[in-house]
Amino acid sequence: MSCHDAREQFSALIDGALDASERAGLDAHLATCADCRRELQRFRDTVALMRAAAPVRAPAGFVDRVLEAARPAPWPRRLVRGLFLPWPVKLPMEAAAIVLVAVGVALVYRGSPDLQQSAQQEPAAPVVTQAPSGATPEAKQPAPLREKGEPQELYGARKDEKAREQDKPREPEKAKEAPRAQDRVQEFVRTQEPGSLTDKKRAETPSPSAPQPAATSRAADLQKAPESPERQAPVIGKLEAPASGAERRRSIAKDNQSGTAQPTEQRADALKAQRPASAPPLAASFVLPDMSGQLAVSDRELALRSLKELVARLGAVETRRFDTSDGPIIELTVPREAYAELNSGLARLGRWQPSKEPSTLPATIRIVVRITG
Amino acid sequence: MARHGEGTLTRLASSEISPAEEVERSELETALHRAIGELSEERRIVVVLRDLEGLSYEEIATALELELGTVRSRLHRARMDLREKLERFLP
Repeated sequence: MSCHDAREQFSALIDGALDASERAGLDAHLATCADCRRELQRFRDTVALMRAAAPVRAPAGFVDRVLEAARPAPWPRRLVRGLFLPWPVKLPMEAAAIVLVAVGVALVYRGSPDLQQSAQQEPAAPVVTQAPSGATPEAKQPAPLREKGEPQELYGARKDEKAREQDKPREPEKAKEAPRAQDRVQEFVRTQEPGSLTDKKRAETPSPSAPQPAATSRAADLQKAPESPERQAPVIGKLEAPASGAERRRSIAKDNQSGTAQPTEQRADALKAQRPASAPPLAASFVLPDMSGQLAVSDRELALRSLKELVARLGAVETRRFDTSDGPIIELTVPREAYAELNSGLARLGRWQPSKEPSTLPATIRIVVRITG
Repeated sequence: MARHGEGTLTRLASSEISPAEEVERSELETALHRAIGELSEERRIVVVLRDLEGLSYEEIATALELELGTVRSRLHRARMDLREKLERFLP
């Protein structure tokens, strides 16, 4: 290899562009030629000088490339990132915080008046429709059954006064009525087969106050068997009418026998506690009837027609009627003068069992008649 | 990344060297600039792309649509010319 051929390959040697054979030939020549080694060194120095100075003296292209490399992203992306990147993080958090605070404030603000309002409304809510209309599972609701003797207790303040003033005149009659109740019991015992009463039915009988004599308990069972007063009673309760005479007497008889009749107020309180939170406003429109009774007839249709005639003849008015599975319940309004005649007229239609007559009759008497049979 | 690149650029632009070095560098740059400018266009282009822009032989051949041997030959000629013109700046 000549020196000229060797120096032609210096450039490729510096750039590492020689293949193995070229590199071997060049190395062999350089090993033997000191001039070419010196010339190669100067060639290296020249290229190094040029490359070292190049970045400084070529600002235009260099600056552009450096700036381009320094920029992580084009300006639209950086602008977008600058405008929107913080928001996905900050905005939801800020919005959530504002919403949480607002909802919390609203709940607290609205919650407390509502609680106060409901607390005020609850005791004022009228009662009535709690009593079931069909067959009454007495074991489930012993308290309403116990209240049947004092139906007026269903009516809040008015009931308290009325119950008290009605209880007073009734006191002396208790002794008289109790034997009547006993007579009825005896009558049922004679007419009914005691074996037909199941233990289940007996178990359902509530024992309101004290343990009763076995005979009385069975008598109570018997009483509800033929005419099922307990099944009718809830409906009457719904109507807000007083219980039938039979029930009233039975209640009195129980009180006499047990000797532990609860005070009226106490039972009234117990009933109040049972009131549903929201009673229908319809109940408020009801007014306690002055009289009530049960009319047992053989032919219901005939009795209804006769009653209609009787009502028309006496100048009375049928103000309300409920049809139940046990028979219709009719509310009548009759002038005081015609009351006696209505009473006797009802007695002619069937077996009329009126409740006890109030001591003072109003000018217009409201009567609730339950027709059975 | 951006700050690093800008820092490098700032350091290069405001290179803290002595006035004597500044003058010497300025002379070298002037001489280099003139020497490159005096090269023939075909040699100048090849040497600039290789030693100033750092392109490989293959990239230069592709960009200028030349044979690889032609690029290698032109580059060698250009460097030999520059070696002679920058002789006084060599150690």
